[in-house]
Amino acid sequence: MGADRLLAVGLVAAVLLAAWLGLRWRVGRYRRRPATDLVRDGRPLVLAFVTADCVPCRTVQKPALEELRRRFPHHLDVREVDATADVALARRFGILTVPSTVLISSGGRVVAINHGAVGWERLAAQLGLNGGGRHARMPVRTAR
Amino acid sequence: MSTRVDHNAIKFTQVSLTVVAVAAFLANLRHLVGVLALVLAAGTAWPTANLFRLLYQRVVLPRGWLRPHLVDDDPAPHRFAQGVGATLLAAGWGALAAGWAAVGWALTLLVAALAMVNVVANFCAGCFVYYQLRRRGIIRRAAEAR
Repeated sequence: MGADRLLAVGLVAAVLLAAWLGLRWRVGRYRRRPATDLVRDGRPLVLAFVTADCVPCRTVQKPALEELRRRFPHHLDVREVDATADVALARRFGILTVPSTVLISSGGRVVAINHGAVGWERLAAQLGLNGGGRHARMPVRTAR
Repeated sequence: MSTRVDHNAIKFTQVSLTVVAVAAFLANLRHLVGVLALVLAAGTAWPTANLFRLLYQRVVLPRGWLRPHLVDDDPAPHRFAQGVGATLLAAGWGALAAGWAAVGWALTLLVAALAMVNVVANFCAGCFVYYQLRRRGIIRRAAEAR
């Protein structure tokens, strides 16, 4: 393989790695902020940031949220937020894209911030809910 | 405008694009990048002329390798994303033709990587760009100008 093509691979890898590390650092920074004011009835909260014209919001994220609501009707609060209408809330959690989900524990701690569409199994696992499929017993971890 | 969009056709196009782009890179076939850019550009301008979609409809579906996944959706954002991919690939081809091989291949691989990130991780790079432009008021200003 020529030096130019190796350089190209290196460039793309560097760009993707920098983007991934930057995103992780940013998520970590925003996760430290408390969100007790958003929690109602002592239930964990899923804030889903969407926009009206976002395709994956409707085709991927919305069905996942509906499934989550269906499986855990009394265990959590799921709210959809228009990221372009409630700019302050989107800015508070450093939302970079839609769909994004912010998971908040019943104690008001930000458990995870997911940029991009996420399935209901992963959301349930991040909240430590039983019955969340094969990921259900996984410990809560930092999302993308 | 909402219509029925086959999301498996979109994913098939993205995977095919990645396979061809990586094959071009590995075999050092610079002109294949240009062909890929033209195929995507033609598919953006005339969706019925999308070579990957024709392959999907005439080969993949009749043999039952994949099933349609029809969703009420607006095809315009998908065409926009495909147009962006075609533009980046055309720029990559231009760079390759001009002798800037590293830049040309980097652009080609970036398009392939973003397509796969969308397929595998459900992270839509087009949505990211669109949201950021809208957050900064660039898209709204363009709409108001019209």
